[in-house]
Amino acid sequence: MPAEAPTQDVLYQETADTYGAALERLARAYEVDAEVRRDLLQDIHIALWRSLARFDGRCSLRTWVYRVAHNTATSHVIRQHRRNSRTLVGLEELEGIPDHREGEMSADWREALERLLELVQSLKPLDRQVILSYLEGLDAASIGEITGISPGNVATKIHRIKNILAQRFQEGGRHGK
Amino acid sequence: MANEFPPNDIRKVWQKQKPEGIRMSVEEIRKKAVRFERKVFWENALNYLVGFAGVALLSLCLIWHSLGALVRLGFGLILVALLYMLWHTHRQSPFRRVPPEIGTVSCFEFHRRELERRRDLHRTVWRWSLGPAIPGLLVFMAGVAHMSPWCQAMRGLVVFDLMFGAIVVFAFAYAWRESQWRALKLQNEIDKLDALRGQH
Repeated sequence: MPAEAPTQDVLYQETADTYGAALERLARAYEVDAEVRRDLLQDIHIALWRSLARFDGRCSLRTWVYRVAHNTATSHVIRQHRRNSRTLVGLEELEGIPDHREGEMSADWREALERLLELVQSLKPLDRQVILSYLEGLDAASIGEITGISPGNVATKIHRIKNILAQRFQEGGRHGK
Repeated sequence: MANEFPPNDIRKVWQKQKPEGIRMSVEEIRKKAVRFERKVFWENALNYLVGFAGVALLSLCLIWHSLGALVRLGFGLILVALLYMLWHTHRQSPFRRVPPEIGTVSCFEFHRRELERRRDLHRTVWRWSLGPAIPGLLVFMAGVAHMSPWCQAMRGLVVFDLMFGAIVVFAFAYAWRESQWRALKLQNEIDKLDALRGQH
C-alpha cells in the first residue's frame, strides 16, 4: 500500500478532534439503527481521511469536512432507501403535516431531541443537509457553500425550518402545559 | 415559559447531544480503510463471478469442435460482447467507494452527478449491453440452423428462428423498457433538483 503523506494524517487528526462530535451527530441524523450508524460513521471517517490527501485549501476545512460527511451519508441513505423504500419528504410538505405527538410535548430535552431526530430523518437529502447545517449553527453563506444551493433558496429553507421548529416545539410546549 | 423551545434552544438541544465518543486513531483508520476496500472488492466480486462464469462457459463452447464453425463464431462474438459489458460495468462502478470529487464539489453537485451517472448507465443500455450481443446471437442462430438436420428443412429453420428470435426480442425489449423506465425516474429526480436550484 502506498504511504500517505504525513500532512494528511495530521490534518485528519486535527479534523477528527474538532469535528468528531459534529460528525457523530450527523451520522445520528442519517441512520436510526445504532449498529449501522457506527458503520456509517466509520465510512465517513475513512472518506474524510482519504479525501484529505486532496485537500488544497480552495474552500475552508469546515466546508470540506461537511461536504465529505454529507456526501457519504447521502449515498448511504440512497442505498438504504432502495432497500427499505421509506418515503422521504421535503420541507414544503413537512410544513403542512401535523406532528402526531403534538400535545405530548414536555420540556424534557431528551424527548425534544428524539422528536427532532425523527423530523430530520424524515427529510429528503438536500433538506436534511440544510437543516443539519442550520442546527450545527452554520450561517446561510456557509450552508450555501456546502450544499451548493443559492443563498436565496437557503434563506427560504431556513425560514421554513424556523417555522416548522416553532410549530412543533413551541406550540407543542403550549399544548403540553 | 419552561416548556417552550424557541428555535435557538433547539439548536442547543441538538449541539449538546451526548457524544458516544467514537474515536479512531490514524492507524485504525488506515487498517479499516484496507478492510473496507477488501469488503467492497468481494461485494463486487460476486457480480464479476457471474460474468466470468459466462465467459468460462462461452470459452468452453468455443473449443467444442462438434458444434460447428458458425455456432462457435456466434459464441465467440457473444463472448466479446460479454467482456465488453463487464469492462463497461467495471469502468462505471469502480471498486473504491470514495469518489475523488467528494470534498471538492457541493452536496447538490455530488448528488446530481451520481444521479446522472446512474441515468446514463440505464439510458445507454443498448450501446454497452444489448446491442453488442446481437451480431453474436444472429450468427449463433444461423449456425444452429445450418448444422441441425432438423433445421435444415426449411420449415424447421423458420420455426427455430422464430421461436429463438421471439425469446431474444422479448428479453431484450423487456430489459430495454425497464432501463428506460429507470432512466426516466432518475431524470425526474434530476429535474426536481434542477428546479430547486433554479428557484430564487
